[in-house]
This record gives sequence, structure tokens and C-alpha cells, in this order.
Amino acid sequence: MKFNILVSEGPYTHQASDTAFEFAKAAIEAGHEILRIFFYHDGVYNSTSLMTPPVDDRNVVKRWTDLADEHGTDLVVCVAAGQRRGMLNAAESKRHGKSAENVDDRFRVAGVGQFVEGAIIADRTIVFGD
Amino acid sequence: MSSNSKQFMYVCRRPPYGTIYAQEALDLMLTGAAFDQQVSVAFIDDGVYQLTRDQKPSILKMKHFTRAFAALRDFDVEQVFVENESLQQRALNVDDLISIPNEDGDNTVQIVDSEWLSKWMEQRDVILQF
Repeated sequence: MKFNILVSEGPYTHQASDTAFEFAKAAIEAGHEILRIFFYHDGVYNSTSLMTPPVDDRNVVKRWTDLADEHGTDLVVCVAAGQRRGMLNAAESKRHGKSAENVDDRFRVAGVGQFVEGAIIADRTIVFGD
Repeated sequence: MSSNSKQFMYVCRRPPYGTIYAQEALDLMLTGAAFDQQVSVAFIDDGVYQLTRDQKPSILKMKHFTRAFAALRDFDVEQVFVENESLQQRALNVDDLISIPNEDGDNTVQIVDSEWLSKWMEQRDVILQF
């Protein structure tokens, strides 16, 4: 089965990202396809390249980027939700004249239409959040 | 399930201000509406406040984003439901709500009861709750 996933809460504050990750991992291991994982609302913070949690805790961003490295999972951060919250990749940072970038380059920055398109193509769309 | 035409339903259940969910949900709805799918929107619980008249969010230094609900008609979203029970619980009625007229001038906002709404939901392909 082909899944389209939305993560709508930030890391650590909320379990949504953890549960979405466990779901995606289990689905891939069971032979399903994760079409796309879209990060919306505070979910965009899951893409920060600056995450530095204590060593005895999980690294939420690293889990996502490991998933992308191992399985080529399409991770997409909403451009509008990201800009509003100061989550910019190199291209967006340059375009807005900012001095830094903070979105890990294994995440694509794109419009929310990517999520809707995923919902049209996928067999199931699952939202992780409140 | 993977056909290119799906019946989308957005369920708005949070108040318009206080959190950003309602505002970003509307961004998503307006983007999603351009994909030429069948789209319906339902307002339940505190979500019914999103359609109330005479909002003055400028007092809170917030954008009056709910005005953009009128744009739904430009994307042929003509199925806008408000749950009657939620209105009654909040001592609201149809006169407290904005109308969203279609091309013929008919109000597309329909008041429906919870049982009707649940049957409607059963027949949708993708249900997104904000």
C-alpha cells in the first residue's frame, strides 16, 4: 500500500513526529511504500539541521534523515509554514536575504500542494498530530 | 483507491484564533481546491467560530484570515457544512455566521446535524482534520 503522511507537530514537545517515524519505518519494513512525508504547522521544525539533543535522548531529525538516506524517503517541508517560523534552506535563505540556513538538505522545501498531490496519488493519507 | 479523482473533506474543529491551525488549514484548503478534486468542508465543535460574523482580530494584532473563506466558492467548493449541535451548544445560530454565496447568490453554508455529517464522512476518500 502507498502511504502519504502529514506531520503537524514539532519535535520533542509532541509525540506526533516519533509516532509518524515509527509508523513509516514499520510500513517500509512490511513492504509498503511511503510516498511522501509532509511537514506542516510546527512540524516544519522536524527539519532543522541544528538539532542538538542530549546524547542519551533520541535525535528526531537524524531519524528522519537516516530514513531518507536508507530508503530515499521523500521528506517535504512546507515552504510557507517554514518561512513563517524561520525554517529556510539555502535557496530560500538567499532569496530572502538572510544570513543563515537551517533546513537539512535531505528535506525538500515545497508548497502544500505537494501534500494534496500525495493524498490524491496515495492509497491512504495519515495525519500525525492533535 | 489510487484513482485521480478523490472526495476530500476538511473538518475544522478549532477556534479561529488562539492557535494557528485554522489559519494554516485554510491555506491548505485553498491550495487543495485548485487540484480539481471534489471538496467539502465541515465546521464542528469550536470550529464553528471560524465562520462567525463581525470578527475583530485586529484587537489581537491578528490577520482577519477567515475573510478568505469566501474564496472557496471561486474553486467550486460548494459544500460547506456547519454542525447544528455544535452551534446549539454555543448558543449560536445561522444568523451569527457569514454566508458564502455561490455564483447564483445562494448561500453555500448548510446547517446539518451530526448524524447526517457522520454519514457524509463515511463516503469521503480523504478526511483531514484541523
